[in-house]
Amino acid sequence: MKNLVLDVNVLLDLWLQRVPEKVLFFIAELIAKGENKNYWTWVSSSSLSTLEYIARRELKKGGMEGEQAKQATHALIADLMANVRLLTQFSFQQVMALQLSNDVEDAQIVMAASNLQGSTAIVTNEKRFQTGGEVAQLSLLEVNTWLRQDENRSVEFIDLKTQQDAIRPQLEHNIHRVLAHGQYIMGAEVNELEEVLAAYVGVKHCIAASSGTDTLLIALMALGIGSGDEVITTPFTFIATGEMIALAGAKPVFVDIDPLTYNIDPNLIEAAITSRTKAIMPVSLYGQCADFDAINLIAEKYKLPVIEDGAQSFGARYKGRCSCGLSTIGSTSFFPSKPLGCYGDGGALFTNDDALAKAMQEIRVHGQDRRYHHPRIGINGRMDTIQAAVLLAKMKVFEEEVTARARIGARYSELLQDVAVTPYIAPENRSVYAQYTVQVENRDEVQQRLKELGVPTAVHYPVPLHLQPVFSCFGSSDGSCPVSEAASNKVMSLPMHSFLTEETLSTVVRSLREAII
Amino acid sequence: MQVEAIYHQGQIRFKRPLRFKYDDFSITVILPEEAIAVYDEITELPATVSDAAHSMLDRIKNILGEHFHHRPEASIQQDREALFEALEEKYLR
Repeated sequence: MKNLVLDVNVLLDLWLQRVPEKVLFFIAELIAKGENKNYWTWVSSSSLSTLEYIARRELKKGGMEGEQAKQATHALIADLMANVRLLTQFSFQQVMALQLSNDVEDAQIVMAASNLQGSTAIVTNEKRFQTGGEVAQLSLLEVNTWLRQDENRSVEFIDLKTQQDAIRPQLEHNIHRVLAHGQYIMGAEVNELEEVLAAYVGVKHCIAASSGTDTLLIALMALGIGSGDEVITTPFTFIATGEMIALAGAKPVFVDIDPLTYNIDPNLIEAAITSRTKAIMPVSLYGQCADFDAINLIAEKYKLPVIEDGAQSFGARYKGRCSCGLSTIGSTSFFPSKPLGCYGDGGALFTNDDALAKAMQEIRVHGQDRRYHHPRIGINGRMDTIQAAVLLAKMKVFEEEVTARARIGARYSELLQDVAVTPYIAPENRSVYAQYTVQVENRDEVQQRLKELGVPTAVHYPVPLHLQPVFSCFGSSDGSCPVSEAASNKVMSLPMHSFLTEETLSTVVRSLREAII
Repeated sequence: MQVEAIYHQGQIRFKRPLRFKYDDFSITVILPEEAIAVYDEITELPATVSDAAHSMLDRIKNILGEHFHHRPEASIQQDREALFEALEEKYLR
């Protein structure tokens, strides 16, 4: 997305009808909120008082009575603010603004515009800004052409910058609220987030925590899993899944995956259950839920709890129900690149079980049930308040982003089905496409060629957990999970994020075709 | 003296390096007529203006009432003068 920053004179032209009617409409078009725009419109907050002074003065000059001019100007500003985004003036940039230009207000506009992450232009009637080349400046006549030009940005694997611009006003509001109240640990935003997330998933309890790795450990500890126990899980996942089972003192028992969904194969679980099995921990990989009805049925038969490692699947649906609300405990990650990511580490646990919720809340805070009273061993697993504040801003647009991800994933599959093995999304699932992962032959060569073409890729995951050196002590060997082993040699993830444009998507598709042929 | 210069995005750059005795002085520039844009050239407006833009203009009309009417174009300098007058009115009178 591009950014247009409107200068004072352009807004005054609209408010005071100083340009022909069709130009009035053009300016109104730039300001008015609308669907399918490829830009956001901003006004620097430093422009507001100037706008107010000049508009009032001019209206009074034109015969409007003083108080009426004041109220009319306030109404015009209120209407403007309801439609555009306001650019923040940071105090730390003011000295630089003073040094940059003789006109502080102009320099303030440039500094504020340069805080935006996407391509940015100041729209003005007079190109007087010293932008240093970072920010373009356009007359109204040049706007359409500039908006049509390609952004000329490199293809990003995940585009957090555009998302930041999209939610910047809410982000700044939320973060500054935390700076103001100063409750950096377990502040009000953490409780607020827990309520929002629990309602979204549709469970009684949400426990926000320090990461999607710590949440797995907390869940295992709350279930009393430890030395001598076994936990059934998938080998085709990030290390944290098996690592936390081992860290809790238990043995990860790796069960191979379904070749279509890459999730644990429920048909193989029962054979792996022993008297030492204490839980099943499926992973909802790449943003698609595992087959929870089948898994829960087996778990029920053997009276085992099920922990969903939903680090990649928050926002996904299984038979209309939300990921993380499908089993005894749901766990997710808010690592920045996740579909719902914060600006650091974060995670959350979900359950309908009151006793488990209490245990997990205590374990999160050093096993404490009240201040300095510790009935159990816990960890330092709290979520920072600032991360909760970031997530609250992101939750306001999360469902829109999930819908965009689903659309982009489907579009990729439509265009790539004759080129690579595209993701299979089971009919009962809505994937959140944490990764858009295909299978290709000669992956290393294809990756290298794509890199040369400017398309970043990643492999999730090149070595299944049962073949990781650290787990060799548990006796798994080459060939024990053949589907995972085969997948790990071929999977390759392509750029995926909710702001991926049709143009970028086409570039990725074209490059992949070129890299394969 | 006459020197060649290139205009790019609001800045004029001389084609050869020059040093000046003063920071500010006036110069005369010869501009090619065809490079000067006029509002009539905004021809790329969508055939139909969006409802949102229509309603924005309606709201402005509603706020200004009888004071919604065409006014002459104003330069940046004129806007500055209006700002100074407004500030004077607020702080000096």
